[in-house]
Amino acid sequence: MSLFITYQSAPSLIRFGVDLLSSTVWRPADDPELEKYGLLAPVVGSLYVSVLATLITFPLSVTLTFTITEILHKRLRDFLRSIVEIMGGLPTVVYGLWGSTVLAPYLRDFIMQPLYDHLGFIPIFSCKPVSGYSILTASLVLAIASTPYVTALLIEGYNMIPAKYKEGIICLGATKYETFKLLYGLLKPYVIASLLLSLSRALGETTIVALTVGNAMKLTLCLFDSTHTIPSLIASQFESARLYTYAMPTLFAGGLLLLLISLGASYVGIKKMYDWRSKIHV
Amino acid sequence: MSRRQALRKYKSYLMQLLMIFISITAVTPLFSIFYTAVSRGGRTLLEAGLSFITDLPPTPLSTRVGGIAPALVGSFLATLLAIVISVPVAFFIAFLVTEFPNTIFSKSSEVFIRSFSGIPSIIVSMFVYSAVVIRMGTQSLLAGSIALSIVTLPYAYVYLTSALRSVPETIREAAMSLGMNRLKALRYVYVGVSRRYILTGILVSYVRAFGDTAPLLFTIGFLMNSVFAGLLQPSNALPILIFVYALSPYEIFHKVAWGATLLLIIIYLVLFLVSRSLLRGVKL
Repeated sequence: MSLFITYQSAPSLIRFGVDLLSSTVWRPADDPELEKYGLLAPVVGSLYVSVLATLITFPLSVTLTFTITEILHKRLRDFLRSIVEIMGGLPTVVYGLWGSTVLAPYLRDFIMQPLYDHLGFIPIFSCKPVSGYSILTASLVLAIASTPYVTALLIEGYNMIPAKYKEGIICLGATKYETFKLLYGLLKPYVIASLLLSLSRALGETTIVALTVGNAMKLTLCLFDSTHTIPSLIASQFESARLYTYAMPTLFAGGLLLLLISLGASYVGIKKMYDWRSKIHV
Repeated sequence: MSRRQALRKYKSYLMQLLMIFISITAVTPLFSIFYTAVSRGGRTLLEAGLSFITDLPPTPLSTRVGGIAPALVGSFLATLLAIVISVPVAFFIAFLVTEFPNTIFSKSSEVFIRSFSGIPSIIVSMFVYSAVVIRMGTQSLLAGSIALSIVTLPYAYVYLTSALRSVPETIREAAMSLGMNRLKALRYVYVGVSRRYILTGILVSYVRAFGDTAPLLFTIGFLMNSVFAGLLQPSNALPILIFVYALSPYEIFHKVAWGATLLLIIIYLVLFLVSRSLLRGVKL
């Protein structure tokens, strides 16, 4: 499959070469000679949005895991677990629609506008929030949607920790919070692995991002600005790309890049996970 | 109790409270989603009544909400077809991998199928577009199902492997000692023993595929003027309809999108609960 994608993207790779990754132009033209495309903005946007989303996911899923496994009592625990499971399977398009119609206006009025007014001198807050469709919105919805997935992985890993460690910690008279700190230390490589897997999923996520990121071909690091990610670019440009000679191969080149990054992240994640598993069961 | 100990205790309580608070924050979006879907989608459903599931979608300028019949039919059919394609393949590989774990074939197919789950589904969509759609000349229900089946393959595989692995060793040995070969044991014993697991696996894969948008994006098309045009003709799907309508500027489309979302959530919850209750009955 990746060979196929490479084959499809070859014309664009040959024609634009390194320019693909260093410019942000998107200029389709009837004359193939005048066409010019660059993927810098979507590549940066993709990495930015998904790394941010993963960073938000991290505290949410770790606390959710510990709350479910250690703090809550049986009935409440089962309830919270079912909620997390339901969230995990909920179609992403539902999250996307909710993010674009409910969360985006809310964020714009109550979070982005005050931050822009008072902290506008900080570069990442320095652009005026216009529509609510922004990097921040996209990463937040993405984080909400991927938290259940990471939590499920973490609960699985948590249950894999041999009972002797937990017993030892309790025997030493540790409080719940100290237990959490110790067990978290033990779980850390697994947490990083799960986050890498989540990052790989976030990179390829199309629906949520395309509905919330604002879809603008713009290179920006400001949180309140709209941009493109590779999947959102593909989703929004695919229909019209058919008409031009080099647009489609460029989209395929973006897809190839995305495939490589996301396969790489998930490979490292899975490998780390297996390493941890074999280490913990000595 | 010394002061130090008291301090530790309070710190622990405080942190636990904080954790519970963060956890609740993490799941509130679900309730917000349900609330919005019911309040907005419910209004659409009430306005359109039963015709919402039997009528054709509205045009941007129409005053009536219309219905989403093409998307519903397309979704059910495409997902069914995807499952019909992917489950046998996944089952075959799962059988080989659990029964003969040390052959080159099963090792490589295990790696192969696992790496499938790392492929972004939009890439699958592009792949099927250029491999199937361009060759057939048109977007079609079949192309959509092929894309969906590629995406569901790893899920189906994971569930079916754990289903086959759940067969207790004693039963396995008993089957062997009756002189069955592995295929016969699979047919008469393993499938029967793990049937609830297998059913749950199929159902869960169905749910997954039902809500998936990206693989269908370039493959299934966007049928508006009839309910069902044929297997090799463009069709429509519920998530695609919601996605396209959410991006469109027309108010009426947003209305329909919310109605469709409410329906999608209801279908999802029903399938989820069914698979849950199936799994609860599993006792070996």
